Amino acid sequence: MKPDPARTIVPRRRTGVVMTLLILTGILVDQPADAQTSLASERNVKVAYLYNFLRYVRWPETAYADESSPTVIGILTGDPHSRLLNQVAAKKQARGRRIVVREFDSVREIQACHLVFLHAGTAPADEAEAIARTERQNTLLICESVVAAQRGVPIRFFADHDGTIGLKINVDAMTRRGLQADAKLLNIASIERD
Amino acid sequence: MDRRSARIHLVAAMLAAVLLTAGPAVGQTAESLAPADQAPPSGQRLEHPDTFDEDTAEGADDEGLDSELDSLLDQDLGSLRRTSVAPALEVEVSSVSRQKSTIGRSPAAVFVITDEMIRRSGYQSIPEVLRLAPGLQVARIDGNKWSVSSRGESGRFSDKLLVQIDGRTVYNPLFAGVLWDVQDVLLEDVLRIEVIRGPGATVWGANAVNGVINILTKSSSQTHGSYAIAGAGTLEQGFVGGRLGGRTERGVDYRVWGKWFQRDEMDLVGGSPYDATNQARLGFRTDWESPADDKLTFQGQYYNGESDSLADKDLAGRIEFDQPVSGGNLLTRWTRTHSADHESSLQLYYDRFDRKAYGFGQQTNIFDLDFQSRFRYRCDHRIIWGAGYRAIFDKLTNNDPLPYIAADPKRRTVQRFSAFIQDEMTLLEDAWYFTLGSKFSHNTYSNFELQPSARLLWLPNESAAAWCAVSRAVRTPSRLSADGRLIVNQPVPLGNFPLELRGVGDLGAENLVSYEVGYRQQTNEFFAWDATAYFHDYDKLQVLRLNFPPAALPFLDISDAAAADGYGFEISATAQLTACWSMRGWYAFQRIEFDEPPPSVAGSAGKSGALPRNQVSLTHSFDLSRGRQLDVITRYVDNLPAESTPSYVAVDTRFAWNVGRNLTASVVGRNLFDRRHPEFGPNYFTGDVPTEVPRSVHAYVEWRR
Repeated sequence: MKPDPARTIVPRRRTGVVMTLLILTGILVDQPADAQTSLASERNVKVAYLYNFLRYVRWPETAYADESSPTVIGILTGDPHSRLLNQVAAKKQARGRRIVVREFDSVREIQACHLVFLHAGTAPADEAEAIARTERQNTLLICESVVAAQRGVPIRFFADHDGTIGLKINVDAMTRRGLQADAKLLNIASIERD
Repeated sequence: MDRRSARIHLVAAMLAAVLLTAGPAVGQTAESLAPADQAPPSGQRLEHPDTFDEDTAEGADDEGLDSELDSLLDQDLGSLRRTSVAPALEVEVSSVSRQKSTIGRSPAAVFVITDEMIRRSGYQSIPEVLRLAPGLQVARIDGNKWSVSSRGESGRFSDKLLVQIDGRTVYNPLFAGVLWDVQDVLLEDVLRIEVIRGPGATVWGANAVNGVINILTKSSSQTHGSYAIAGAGTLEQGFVGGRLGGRTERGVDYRVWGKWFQRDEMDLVGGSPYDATNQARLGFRTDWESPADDKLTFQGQYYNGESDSLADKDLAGRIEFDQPVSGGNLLTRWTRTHSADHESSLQLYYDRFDRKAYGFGQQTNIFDLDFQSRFRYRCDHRIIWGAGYRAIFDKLTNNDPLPYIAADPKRRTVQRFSAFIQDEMTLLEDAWYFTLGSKFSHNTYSNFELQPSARLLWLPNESAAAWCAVSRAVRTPSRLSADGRLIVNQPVPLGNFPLELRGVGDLGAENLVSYEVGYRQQTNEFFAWDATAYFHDYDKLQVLRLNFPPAALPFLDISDAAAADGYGFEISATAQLTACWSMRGWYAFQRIEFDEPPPSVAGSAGKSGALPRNQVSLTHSFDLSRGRQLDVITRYVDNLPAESTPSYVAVDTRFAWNVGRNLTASVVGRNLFDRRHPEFGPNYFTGDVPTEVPRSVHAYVEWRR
């Protein structure tokens, strides 16, 4: 048996030190860092990324029928980002073109899109089908899924160590689809090859 | 006994109350959902039951979300890349029902330790990482011995927890518990650790009585590139590790990894400790995915090391000895996805381990074959079923003249068959789910066992879940309790002479009926909480009995006369306080009371005072500028009267910063405000001498590419 003092006095003193430490670190840390990072909902961040892809990826001229034809974003029916994307489409333009969001009931129906986004709930088999389908067109495919190994997906989102959302850009897949990413976009992404 | 039955009634009343208060809400939910069923566009969520639609749920917040989106749209790419995202209740979990789900939809007390939490803790071993899970009791007995338990019986040889690493059950069949010094992986490659408190016996194996711990490593498609870690410090004297991953031309993902560590001795007041550990480990994993939805995984590892030990033996005094440990395993799993709702998998593994302690050598070979399949029957039944076979071949040798532990027969083959079926019924889409299932098992020691469970889940809205469950779980007899012979050389409790423990063969299985309720809520993007309460009613617990035969030495044997009541509650919460400061905390109140009728040896079924009554843990995570991170983990653990261990507060910290593009440096301090403290008491059967956990620091660098 240990003597009683170890049981009563020591923990109380430690608790005090601990509390002081927690408060101090809290105060010291809180101020400067606020300016450095900000916090947002994951869906908003991803939708903002999608919008930026339209700005920083160059499609070949043949991908558009004429000067006035819009840029088409394809998503699956039931995609939780649908409402947000429609808001972006209503307000914004990219490279001087209107944005149109089209919803498809299944991946087999996807066609004539410049950008296709598959949300995390998409089945792996559907993702594989979408990769094969969109590869024949000048379509920028973006997958949210992080679990399945995706071959030939031009851009994938991933959750980074520090709680931010990162990008993995497969430059080979981009080239195959005739797409060209701006250096600004490549700078913030991890580059992959087949 | 009166008190026990009163408590059972109390729990039954609690369950009834939960059901009754929830009852009227059925009508409400049905009403509010009815228009949605008629209007097709709103029915879209049915196709993706795993996705919470928080945007439609928070219609009132639309303004706020819009302005947030607006400001994000105006940001440049660099600041978008630096934007942190709020955590959600959607953490993936598969242990509860052996299929992919989210925490929000799991009717069990489940917690997920993510790879991020592991990395930020700076912990270097699996049992230390488990300290992050709410309600688990993790006590370090000495440098390489641990007591990890959930809600009940604790101790190095506690035997009611099921632990799996990538689908491989890691318990030692000798005593049906887990020896933690040999359970290890490269922590960088851990995908997540799922911890379930309470029984998970319906879909998992025979030991999932008090809890299930499922350690999952990343698929090798997620570990392309190289990783290296090297560090040194006071307790963690030195450790290195590394991994190389990639994909072959034929599309096979692979990784090979290795690690080595040397841990120093801890502190022993009034004696010299002898509990250093060193171990080397090599492993690999390959994953191949065919275009036709077949997935094939093949993985394995080999380890070799030494766990030093110190034991009090009354005749020989205090002895120091080295426990050589080695082992390896190979596992292959084939999964076929027939359709989105239909998937089957077949898994086979071989596991071998050798260790030697107290002159007693254990060599065990395990083969395990497991099949499972899930499919949807009509639209409202998700059925999962499976079958398994396990064969254990062991060889227990002791060449000492007066063997300390011996088993008779020396070689034994134990077989176990099991099957399970579980049906998750949708009573009302996105509102009420009822899960009913049972496991059927048979093994060499005890006969047919039935382990049914019923779980009800209610989702009052998209960001909350309430559940309750009643289940039965058993622990099948271990090799030693069935036919072991143990020479107990300890002076306690009967005086100073060698005592023989005789196994008595078929005793049947130890039995638990558990009642649980729980509620969890994602209050908003920045705050989530979870509360559970439980009552565990154990009977047929094994207990030692002292026999005084006429004209012979007294001996011990085992009876199944003991019973126990366990009860308690656990609360945990996560809060994102500012953009760079998040907090995670939990509190657990847990009690267990054993009823050991005479002539039982007191404390041999389990000790009431070996489970901390109160435990609190608080983790602060700070994201400082330029990628620097600071984490402070504070833990309070109540005293353990049965182990003569006073309460303690331990503070662990990690500070990390990026040295270059691929290089991260970390400094870790553990037990900072305390010179040393004991966490557990001695074991009077093995004579293990507990040591105290000292203050320690270590630093390491990690390189990722």
